[in-house]
Amino acid sequence: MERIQRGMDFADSAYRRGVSRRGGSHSTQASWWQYRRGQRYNETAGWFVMSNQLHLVRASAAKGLPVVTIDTGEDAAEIKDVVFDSERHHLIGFTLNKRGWLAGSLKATLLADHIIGLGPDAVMVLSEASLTADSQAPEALADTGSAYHVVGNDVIAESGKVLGTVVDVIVETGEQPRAVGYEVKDDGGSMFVPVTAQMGLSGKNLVVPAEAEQFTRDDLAGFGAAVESFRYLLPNNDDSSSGGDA
Amino acid sequence: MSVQSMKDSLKEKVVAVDTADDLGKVKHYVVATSGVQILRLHIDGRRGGAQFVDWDDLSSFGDDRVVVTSADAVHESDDERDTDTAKGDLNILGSRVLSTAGHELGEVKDVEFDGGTGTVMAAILKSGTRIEAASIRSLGRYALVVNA
Repeated sequence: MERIQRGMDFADSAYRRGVSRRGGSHSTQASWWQYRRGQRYNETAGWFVMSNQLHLVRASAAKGLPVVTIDTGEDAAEIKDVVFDSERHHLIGFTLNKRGWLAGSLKATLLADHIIGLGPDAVMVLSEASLTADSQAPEALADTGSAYHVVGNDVIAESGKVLGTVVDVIVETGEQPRAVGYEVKDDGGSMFVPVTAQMGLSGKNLVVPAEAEQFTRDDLAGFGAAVESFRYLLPNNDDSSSGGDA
Repeated sequence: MSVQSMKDSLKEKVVAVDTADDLGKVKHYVVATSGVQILRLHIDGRRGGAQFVDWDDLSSFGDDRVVVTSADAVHESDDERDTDTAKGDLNILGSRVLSTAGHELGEVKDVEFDGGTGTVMAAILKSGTRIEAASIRSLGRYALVVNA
C-alpha cells in the first residue's frame, strides 16, 4: 500500500514550474481552461474530460478538495492524501485534514466506497458518518508505509523498452472513484497507461503487458476513450482483476 | 399561493398586529437544513442580541409588510443555526451551490418561496439557472447541495 504523496508533489511542482505534459512550458492563464459539458475546467488544476461518459483526473488534483456532506451542506474535512494499493492497482481512499486555517490532520479517513461524487470542486459524501474513524479504518488506510511504491517506478514494456517513470495515478471520477491508469513521463513528455492486474510491480519497475500497451495514449482525452475500449476488449477483466476498486 | 422573492423582501418592515409597532426589518432568513423551509426571520440585532420571529407566528407575509401575530412573538435564540444566520455565516442568498457529483454550479442570487407557508420553491443562480426545490438536498454553511 502506498500513499502517492511523492507523485502528487511531483505533479504539483511540475505544474508550478510551468512544465507541460509534453515537456514544454504552459501558461497558468485562461488558455489552460477547458470546456466540459458547457462548464469550464482548469487543466492546470489537473482536471480533464476524456469522453462523454468517462471523467478522469490526476489523483494529485484531489488534494485539498473539501469533503462536503450531502445531508447538511457542511464541509466536514478536506483531502490530505490519496491512498493507493499499488499491488492491486486500485484506489483505497483518502486521508483527511480538518478544515480551516492551521487545522491539522483529522483522525478519520474516507474510503473510496463511501464517496457519492468526486468532482473538480468537492468530494461528496452522504453524511459525517461516511468518514471512518482511524480505529475502524482498514489497515491499508491506517498503515500505508510498507508496500511497493508505484510512483517513481520505471515503466517497461514487455518488449523491453523503457517507457518512462510513473508520476501520477489517473482516477475515474464520479461515484466510487477508481484508479484506471498511470501517468508516465519521459524526456519526450507524458503518456497514460491503463492499469491491469497483469502488471508486474517490483517497487522499482512496473511492467506493462502487451495487451495494455496498445491502449497507451499520450493525451488524457484520448486515454479516456482507450480505457473504455480496453475494458470492452477484455471482458474477463472484471473490476477486481482490471485494477478497479469494486 | 403568493410567490415571494427573498431578495426583494429583504429590509421589508415587520409589524405586530396587536400593538401595530414596527418590530424590525427582514435581515436574514433562517432556512432549515433541508434547504426548503423557512423556519424564522432574523429581524433585528446581531450576535447575542439578535431578534427572531418564527414563521409560525407570522400572520402574513405581504408584498409591503410582514405582519406578526403579536409583539411578544419576537425572541432571542441560542440555537446555532439561528446565530450563524444572524452573523451571516449561514445564508441561502449568496450561498455556493454544489451538486452531489462535486461540481460547483454557481451562487444563489435569489430564492422564490411561498409567502403563505415559507416553503422554498426554487433557487435562482447568478447565471440565471433555476433550481427547483425538489432538487435541493441541504443547506449548510459551506453550500447549498443539489442533485446532480
